[in-house]
Amino acid sequence: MSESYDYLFKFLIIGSAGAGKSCILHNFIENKFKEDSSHTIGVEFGSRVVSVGGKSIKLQVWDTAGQERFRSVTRSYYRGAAGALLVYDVTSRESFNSLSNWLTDTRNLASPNIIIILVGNKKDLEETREVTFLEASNFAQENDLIFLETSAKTGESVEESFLKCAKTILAKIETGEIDIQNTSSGIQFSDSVIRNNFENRQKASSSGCTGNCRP
Amino acid sequence: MLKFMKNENKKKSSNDEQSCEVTIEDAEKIVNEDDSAFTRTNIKLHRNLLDILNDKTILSFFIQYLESKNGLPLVKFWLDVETFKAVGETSSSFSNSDRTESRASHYKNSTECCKNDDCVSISTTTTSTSNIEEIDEFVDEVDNNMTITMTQSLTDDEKFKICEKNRKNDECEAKSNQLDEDTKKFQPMIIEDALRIFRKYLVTDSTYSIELPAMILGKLSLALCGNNDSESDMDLNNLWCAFEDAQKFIFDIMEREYLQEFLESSFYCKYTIDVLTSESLCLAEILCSETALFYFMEFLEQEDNSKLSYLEFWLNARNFRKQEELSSDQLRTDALVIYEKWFSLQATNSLKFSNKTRTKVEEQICADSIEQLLKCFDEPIKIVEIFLDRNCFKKFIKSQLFFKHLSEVMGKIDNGIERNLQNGIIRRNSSFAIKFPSNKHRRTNSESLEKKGVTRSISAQNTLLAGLDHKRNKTSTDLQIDSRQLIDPNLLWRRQNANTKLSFGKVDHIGRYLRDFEMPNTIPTSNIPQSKSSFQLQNDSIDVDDPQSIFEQAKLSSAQNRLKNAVRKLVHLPEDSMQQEIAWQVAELIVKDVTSITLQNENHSS
Repeated sequence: MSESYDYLFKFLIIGSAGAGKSCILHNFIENKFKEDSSHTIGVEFGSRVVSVGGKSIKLQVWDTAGQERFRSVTRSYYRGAAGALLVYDVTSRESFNSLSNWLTDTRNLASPNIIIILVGNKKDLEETREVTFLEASNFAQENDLIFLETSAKTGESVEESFLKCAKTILAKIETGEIDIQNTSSGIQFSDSVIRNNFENRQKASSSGCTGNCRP
Repeated sequence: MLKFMKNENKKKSSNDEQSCEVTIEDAEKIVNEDDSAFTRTNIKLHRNLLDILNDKTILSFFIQYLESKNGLPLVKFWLDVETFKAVGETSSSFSNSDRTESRASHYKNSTECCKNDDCVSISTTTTSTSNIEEIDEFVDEVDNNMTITMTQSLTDDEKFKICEKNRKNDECEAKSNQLDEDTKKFQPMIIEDALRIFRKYLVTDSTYSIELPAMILGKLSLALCGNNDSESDMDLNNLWCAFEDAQKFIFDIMEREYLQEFLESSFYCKYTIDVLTSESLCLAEILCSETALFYFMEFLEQEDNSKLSYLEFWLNARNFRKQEELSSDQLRTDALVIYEKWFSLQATNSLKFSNKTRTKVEEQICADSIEQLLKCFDEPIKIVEIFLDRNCFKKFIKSQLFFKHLSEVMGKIDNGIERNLQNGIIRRNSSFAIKFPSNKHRRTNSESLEKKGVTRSISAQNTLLAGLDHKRNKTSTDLQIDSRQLIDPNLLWRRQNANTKLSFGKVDHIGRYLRDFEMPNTIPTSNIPQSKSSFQLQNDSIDVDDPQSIFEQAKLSSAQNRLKNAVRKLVHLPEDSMQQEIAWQVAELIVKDVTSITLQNENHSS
């Protein structure tokens, strides 16, 4: 095994065509902007190990095709995802308008515990912006999403969006909201994690200072 | 036998190591030399309702599931109508001496075999076995004609058409005459069948009654009544249409209300395990199941990052292949994207296909016909499939990740076990499940499983705490046992009821630490894991059929063990036997206190 990690999360990147999903993935993995990005045929993927809250987490990211004609294909990949980046283009009203469709799709097809982060991409193109930050954050609030604006070109907030999503999932695991034993949770953990978790909790509870014990 | 299998296994694995790396050229050769090396197998892990209904093996699981949900009539109705339709088409078109027989078998079997029967019975009468589509067309046409030419024989023109289609000019005339008579002869039987279905499912007080919207029901009754009133005027097409509507309606209900839940149910998990542990498990099965794909991808990444490109190409090319209704321009753009990524000489992640393969792909991309364009990656797909199959598949199904996947699916089944089962039975069942149902598993699976640590991991989860947890349930008034707690100790920490949590105190708002109960001494937590193993051992040796004896002995053994440790660590007394006796008693009190609070909480409010 080349790399070790405590958890393995399956992530999705979804959103309308041309929103910059593949570029976000590319930036996240390679840390640089992909100039000549062609449209995605069905699905692409990449992975990276990040560190969140002292835990190393491997993110297996599935970048789906945004074009409508691939919808039936990409739908099948939703299952078992732990987190999703729902991407729209801040310079395209249309991509913002279709968000609710994407959201219903995700809620229907993915596991109910999936953490969705709303990402407004192409933040750097301020002069052609069509969707304001306020509008999008209202939408995010209504739908209970975490919201960020990113730029895959400059790399601004790209990593942050993945980290936020991973952090939220991790928190949910620790409070027991997400059952990691469940196959469809899209979360894999190494054996040491179960052991550690168990022992930590034992230690923590016996000294009476774990999250579980607080009123 | 076992030895033999072991040897074989060894051989296999050594073979694997020798032939470890099949290069892409080798895979190309294999494809070129022998097309049959690559057989497209039917994917068994369906997730779509129509496929489920058409596959006998999974259908039986689906039926079991529906039975548990009181939805049995739905699927029965669907299957009956399917057979009715199939039989109707067959018998109305052609006379068939074993018609009744085949019909009987239709009703027994699933739709899949109906379809086969259809083909057989049709082809026996027409002798043109090659073109089923043509026959279907013919059948359709006859059906249409039937309504018009019911009382008179077919016109010459129509006869001619039919004859031409079947290329059986001589026999055909006789046949079509006969056909007309047959249709008459079988009409009452068809109607009888229809009525039977109607009585079975659509009469409100029948055991299998299902609800249909008034419109569909009305149409159906109308079609049936019409048939009853004047047999000469009957419109079988109407009848079929009505039944088809009803069938579709039921299908939608099943899809909407039951499919998703079925796919999450333990029935589907059991089926998945059957498939995943069957001898015939193939790479395609893994590639087409998203959950398994998740693990396979991770496996490839750990093993050999370069192989990941092949998988990615495979997925992309397969997705490309599915885009049949696109214009050739769009297709070509897609093909070029794939080509540039994996084939072109400048490609960053070139899959290193031979020049020959590459040129062939190039030619096909540039071809005018859409069919050729669509097929341009067919050969590379085969090559990659063989490449991945030879290089990674066998390793994958022996890998830790694959067993993790299996044990997770199994964990799901265990979760589904009824909660009020008794301790011993659950324990037994779950350990059996781990070792796989009967002899179905591949090779010497139970051995390898043990090696891979599936059994170990489960029994490791089955800790003392989980064991004590039964005791709690057992001693409390209701005998409800949450079987999940047997396999997942973490659940103990997530109990809703604050009192049943395994916590010993809490920090209040001003930061003081408040004990939940008075405890003379704390037991070091390290003791608990220590005593785990002995508990486990002890437990295994006891007759599992008698839960009471387990409790007694487990209690004893664990208590003794813990007491010993507790006494050694906590009570430093001289080696006086008298004092030692007291120490034992004190320690026992402590243990009792702890267990009464952690385990008997509902009754014991402290």
